[in-house]
Amino acid sequence: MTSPTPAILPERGLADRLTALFWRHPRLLLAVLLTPPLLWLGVVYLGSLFALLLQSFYSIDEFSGMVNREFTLKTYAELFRAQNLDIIIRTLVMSAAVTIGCAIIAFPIAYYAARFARGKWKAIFYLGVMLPLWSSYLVKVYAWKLILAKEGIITWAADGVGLSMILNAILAIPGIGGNSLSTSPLGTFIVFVYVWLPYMILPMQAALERVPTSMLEASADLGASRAQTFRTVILPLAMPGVIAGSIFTFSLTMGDYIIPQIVGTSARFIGLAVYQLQGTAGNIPLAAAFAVVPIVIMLIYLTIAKRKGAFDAL
Amino acid sequence: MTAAVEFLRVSRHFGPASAPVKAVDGVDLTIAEGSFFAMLGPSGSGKTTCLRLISGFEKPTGGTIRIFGQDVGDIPPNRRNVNTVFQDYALFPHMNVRDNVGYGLMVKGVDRRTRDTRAEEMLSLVKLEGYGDRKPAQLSGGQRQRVALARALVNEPKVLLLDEPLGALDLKLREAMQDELKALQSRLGITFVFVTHDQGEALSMADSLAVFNEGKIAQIGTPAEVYARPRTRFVADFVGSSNVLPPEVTRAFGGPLKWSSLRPEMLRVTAADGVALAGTVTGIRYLGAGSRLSVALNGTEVAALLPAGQPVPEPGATVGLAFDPSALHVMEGEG
Repeated sequence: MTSPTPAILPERGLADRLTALFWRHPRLLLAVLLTPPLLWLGVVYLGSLFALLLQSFYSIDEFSGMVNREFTLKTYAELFRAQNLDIIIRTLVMSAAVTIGCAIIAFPIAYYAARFARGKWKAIFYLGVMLPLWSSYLVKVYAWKLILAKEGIITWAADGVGLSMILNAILAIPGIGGNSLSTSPLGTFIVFVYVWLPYMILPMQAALERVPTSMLEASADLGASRAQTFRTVILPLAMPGVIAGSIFTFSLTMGDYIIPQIVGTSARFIGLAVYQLQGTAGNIPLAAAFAVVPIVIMLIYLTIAKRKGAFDAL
Repeated sequence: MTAAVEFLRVSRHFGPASAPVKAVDGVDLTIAEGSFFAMLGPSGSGKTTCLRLISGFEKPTGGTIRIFGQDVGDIPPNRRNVNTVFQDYALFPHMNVRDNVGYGLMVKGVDRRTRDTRAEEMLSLVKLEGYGDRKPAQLSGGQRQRVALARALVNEPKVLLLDEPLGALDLKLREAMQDELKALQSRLGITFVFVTHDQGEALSMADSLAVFNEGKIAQIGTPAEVYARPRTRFVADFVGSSNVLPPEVTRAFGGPLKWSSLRPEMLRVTAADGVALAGTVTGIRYLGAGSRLSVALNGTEVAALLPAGQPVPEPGATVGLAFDPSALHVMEGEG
């Protein structure tokens, strides 16, 4: 019996020839797809990072202001001067506080979205989380400056409901308080938490979504209270998401130089120090050394997280 | 004997009250202590919901559930001394096997050494000695299933609930686990409640079983009772896929004008001449241990089991069918 259709179909042109080529050499397609982004990442991104790292090993001649292209650790030693160390510690404390603040606020939202939101409510969740990211970052920060100002809505509302006592008591706390919310470290914290919150919610939600309901039921079935289930099952399983989110909030806070300029005490943060050192001061080596600090801190942070088993559930 | 689990007019409806989905609808059920009880039914029949009502993951919308005589209406899952072997096993991926098994003891505040000793005991009970340090991901499906079993049994539950625990295993392993589960149950004396859609599994393992259909119990009894005397057409067809004969055909087969069930293995295939019942072979399915013939007769299709070794007729051939009149089971229930 002969079939009217042939056993092997004719080649239809270039697309079929390419398909055949990639079928015979499976790695070729991978190479074609990967080369441009790898060049971008490797040369443009990592290359410039390496150039930056190189700069940090140079030093600046204090009289001429010229960069001395000789390898030295002098610039790094400068980081440990009281005023510079102050900047690093302030940035570190703020980044840690913002990360913890974001994690605490993000968790219930992410948990709701992952466990309960379905259909329309899921869409509303994504919209609600992403919407703030669509508008200009500067607009949001200036808006917050007005909200937090002494004449702003928060002070006004606190007056209206008779809570200005509490607001003033908070502002009187040394270290986080100030004249008004918009000129206090607390204000800087609030704006940071607001701006970076979506970057914590989304990875957390993705991680929580991967925890099967039966896992939570098994925990309850075996006698665990809700708190025990949270501590021994949900948190460890969501940890990779929490870490991913905290990488965003932590490093974004460490590198930001706009928010501390607009809201807060105008005390310097690493980002602001880098901005000023490479611009007005022209001290590129010290700016580079400052820029290395967040990288080192993140590496230390991730090493500790890995040691503590944060990625075991991956 | 006390009742381990009692359902009194229990319902679980989902969705709006105006058009509820009746997952479980007015179920009365008594599971005797120390028995191996199977809940059998097709998917969506309410058997799994019943299991989840016992464990407390579902709350009844009506009726009362008692566990060892105590009303559990207000008791959350963690305080019910029943444990579940989940269909997907639900082992904690971030803990090793020993910590998985010891989890129930850990949340009760048992110290690590006791916990580890008990976990090892349980692992040897399910024949997994020396697997304590592995992660669930490093185990095969059958091994995971045993870990899930050990994790539930370490708590010495009053009732062990098993939600299609063998569904994900291949045939050979499933048969071995069936024997093991049965042996384990009679050794421990714990009440096992077993949900399955596999009628063969339910028949071979259970002391008694409930057949579920559309949220209601269609029949409850011992496997032999349910198989030999199905109460409804659904049970006859679902358990062992019987020939369900409409009233006219029942009468042609020598019974009353009622629905009846006639098991394929009770029909003998004979020569066509000189018998009361003769029909045309319309299909033959080879089963290994025999063949299943479809015979068109009196306007209905009747299945007959032909043991291996007997000559198999050609399709289209005319054959006679004979049976012992007592094999014709007249059903009392409808539907």
